[in-house]
Amino acid sequence: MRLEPLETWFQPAPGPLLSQLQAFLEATAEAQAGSGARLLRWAITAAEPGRGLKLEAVLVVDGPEAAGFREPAPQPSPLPAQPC
Amino acid sequence: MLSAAVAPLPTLLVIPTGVGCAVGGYAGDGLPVARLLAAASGCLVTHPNVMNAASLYWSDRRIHYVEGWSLDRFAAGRLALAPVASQRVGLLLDAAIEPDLALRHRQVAEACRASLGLRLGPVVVSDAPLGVGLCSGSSGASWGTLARPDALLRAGERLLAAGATAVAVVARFPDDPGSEALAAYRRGAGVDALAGAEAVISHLLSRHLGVPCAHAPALDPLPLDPALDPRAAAEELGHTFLPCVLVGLSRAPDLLNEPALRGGCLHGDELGAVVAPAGALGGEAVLACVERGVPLIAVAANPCVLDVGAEALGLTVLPAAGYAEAAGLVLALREGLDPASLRRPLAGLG
Repeated sequence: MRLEPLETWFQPAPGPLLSQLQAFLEATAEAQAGSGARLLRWAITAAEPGRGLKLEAVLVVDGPEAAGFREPAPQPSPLPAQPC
Repeated sequence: MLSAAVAPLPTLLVIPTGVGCAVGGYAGDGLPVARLLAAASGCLVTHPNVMNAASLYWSDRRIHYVEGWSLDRFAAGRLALAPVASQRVGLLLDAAIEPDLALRHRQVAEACRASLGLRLGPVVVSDAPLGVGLCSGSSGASWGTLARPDALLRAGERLLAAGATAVAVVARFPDDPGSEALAAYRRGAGVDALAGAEAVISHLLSRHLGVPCAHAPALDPLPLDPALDPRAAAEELGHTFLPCVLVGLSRAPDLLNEPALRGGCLHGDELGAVVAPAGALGGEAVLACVERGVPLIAVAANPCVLDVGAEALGLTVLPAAGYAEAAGLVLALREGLDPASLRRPLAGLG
């Protein structure tokens, strides 16, 4: 098991936002970290008219590499705009 | 005979963690707001970041202490909250904590048993150092990593197997007394650098165990700072940040998957209001509430490093200048008043 950051942009369609965000994040997490990736926490951390919504998350990644730990890549990191 | 008392209006208070909120972004300085909103609503659900003030705490039967992972699921209608007389709080200590510092934490637990009558124990030490790392995002918000999440989860499992019904976890956090970020935080002008990593730890544990969980960091004491901001002062009172966590968890509600059949539960669909900073509306709990039609009170006077407001998200909110006005709006909703009737100009029905 390891923790991994995720950062992406999303342009929502009209309609309820939450279900769109969750579906997009789950697909993006799987594409980034494989089928064992699950969202631990996420939030919208910015909104720009041209780019849409900035989403930042922390993933829990289960899998055969469970005993290991991989340092997150040195990229803009997830912003935990959620309660703890 | 029907009671004349006004029924509680279950209200959710969210002050996001690690984003430098002016109110609630420090050492439990959201607690007065929680007390006010609990009085206005008669029933408040909020999270440890709001309530935890290290050696200081406030216990109120109207306030439900729910960690963020579970809070998000409650808001989405996936978990119910079942009030209990007390939890048996197990203490999970990171193997990286030095013996003297670990003893300080054990003695806090002993003090809470002896002086407050809390049901505590057992104490378990993780089978490997957890390896907490602190990170800061490009916006200045804090988050964190854990080298050995597997060791955290195993220790939590041992506590539950030994009879604990809630888990207080203490991880050894890196000391960095000379950092500019810490100096800014202590002077009331910065983001809590520890908070994001704390959230990762408590989310991970809550997700795995399904019981109330909360975290306190283990740190060496800081040198005296005569310019300390009052909002950060609660963290300078003692040797640990643990008392508030033990007290909060001691009456935290049980977490039941929906549909929950136990009587007396609080369900997400009973929420009558959600209160959040106007610039931090992009979290899961707030969005879940909005989509379920729960009125969202957006508080302007709680700026943070984010700027994710109602307009950007296309949300309809009840604006409040500050938390005193937010409490008034909660009271209005509880009394069945249309908040629009309290503002001028009052638009016609059209």
